[in-house]
Amino acid sequence: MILCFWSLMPIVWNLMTSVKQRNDIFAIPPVVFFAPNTDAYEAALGASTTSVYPELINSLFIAGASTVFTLLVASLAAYSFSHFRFRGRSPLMFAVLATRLLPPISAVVPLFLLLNSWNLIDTHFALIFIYSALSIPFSIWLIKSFIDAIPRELEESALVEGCTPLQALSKITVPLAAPGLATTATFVFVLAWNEFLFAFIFTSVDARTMPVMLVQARGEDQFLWQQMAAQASIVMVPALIMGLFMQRYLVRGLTEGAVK
Amino acid sequence: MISSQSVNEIAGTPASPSGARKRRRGRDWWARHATPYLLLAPTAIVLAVFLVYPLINTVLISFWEYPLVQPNKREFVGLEKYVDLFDDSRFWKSLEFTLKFTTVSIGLSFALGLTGALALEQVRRGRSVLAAMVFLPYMVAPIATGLIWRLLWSHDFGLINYMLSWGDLGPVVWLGDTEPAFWAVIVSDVWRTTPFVMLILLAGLTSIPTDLIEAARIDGASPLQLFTAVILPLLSSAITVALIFQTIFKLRVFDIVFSLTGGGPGRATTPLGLMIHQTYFRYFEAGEASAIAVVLLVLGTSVSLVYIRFVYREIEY
Repeated sequence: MILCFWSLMPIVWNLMTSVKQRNDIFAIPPVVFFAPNTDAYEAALGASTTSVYPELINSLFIAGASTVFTLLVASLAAYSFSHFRFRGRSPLMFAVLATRLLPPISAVVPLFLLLNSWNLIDTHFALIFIYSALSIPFSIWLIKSFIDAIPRELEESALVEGCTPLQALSKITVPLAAPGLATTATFVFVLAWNEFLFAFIFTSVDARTMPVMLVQARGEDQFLWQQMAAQASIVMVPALIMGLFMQRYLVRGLTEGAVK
Repeated sequence: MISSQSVNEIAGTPASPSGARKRRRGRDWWARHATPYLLLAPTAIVLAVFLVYPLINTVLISFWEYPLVQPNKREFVGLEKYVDLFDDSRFWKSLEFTLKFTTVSIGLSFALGLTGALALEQVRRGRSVLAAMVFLPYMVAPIATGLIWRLLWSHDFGLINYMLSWGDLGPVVWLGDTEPAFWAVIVSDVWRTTPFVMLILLAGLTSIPTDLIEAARIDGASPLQLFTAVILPLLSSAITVALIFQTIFKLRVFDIVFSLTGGGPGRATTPLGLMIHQTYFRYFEAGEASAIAVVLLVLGTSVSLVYIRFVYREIEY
């Protein structure tokens, strides 16, 4: 009970604030029962200057594209690590792991110079590639753990039955690895959706994402608490839903992919 | 390659059987040996361009005077940037905050995470639903976490000061004073990261065979003995995993501080990550920013090395 209160209270409080009137927000003692109003959400999602639609679309697009790209690249590598025994396999696997462990913020300065010289500052491309680079290492380990769990005999028997290697891959391995791919996709999506540092540095107008919007929309001379709480909720809720969705594989994700 | 071969076949070149076999063996050899590397190529390219190359460059730039806006004033200065940095009290303050934040925050999230995991393990019915609820904070974007907690820490109308007033305490100026601001950052971060620790430890706990615990109990072990002599040792690998990852993630703290305190009051809660950002984008000093980044890189790498050695040992089992 205490655990649940501790975990959920700040989230609930934020949701409540987002539907409170201005004077209710400042009330002492805090108001728990009040007539909810959705002004802030209407302002954020309506068609006006306060709309966050462009940022929402950017966030969705960047997170979605990073997820697709990461899955493509990482599943090739995971398949390679899982199915082939080749020279340099285990050093390469640890090299991949090591890149995940280095602090990405240390790469910011040269990355800025590089993207600047390619005219990629404030583009969706820049973030998609960066997020992919951040997610590929743990995705490889995660997907690999799922492919490893598929009995090799299944694929071999398909080959004996006369399937081509490509057919065996598309009819046996990919469907069986699907839950793993879905789990990985969720992790990558949430990472890209929540990411702030790189988005803050590498975007300004055109490719600005929701988290950046969140800190830049504080209001000029007073804190617009209700609006901020509403926007925080808009950022938070999709990730929370995905968190519930991937509950089943969460521990595995933490200990195999994001962790191991 | 394929076309030239089919041309051969159509032309009916009387290639000797052994030659054909050799050619086929050559192709098989390539298929077998090149495929794994080809599959890895996209990964290698993406990681090299967007992670490895920039990181190497960071090290190089840190030896340069590298003002962003005046390219003609760039020159190689060797270790000068590091000498300056180690003379700079702001750097030491920032390093101190980073290390203090990392250790205190990890200590607290471990204490809470372990308690939570032990409590959850006792729950028989609806454990997964409960675990899902408890896990939610970890899904919240760190940048949003900062904002959410800002509401709670608020001096005038925050829930926390209100709750303190029940016990005739406060109100505390949480975000405006050095000490309270530190604790505000800690608690907000612990709130978000505890579920990570808890879930890993819970997974470790549930994998302990129950008959082992039963046996200890029958042999007359007290609950405390049971915990220190049976459960903790069996949990050690889960603990190590959670510990190292927490260290790595917390050393690079940025978002939550940025939206909660902005590094203030003054520079009291400025971690190294935020200092890199300020040096680069406020003072346009790429060389100095890179030197700080290298310090962070060294810290992160040394923790990572410990981790990789640990993984190697695990695999040998």
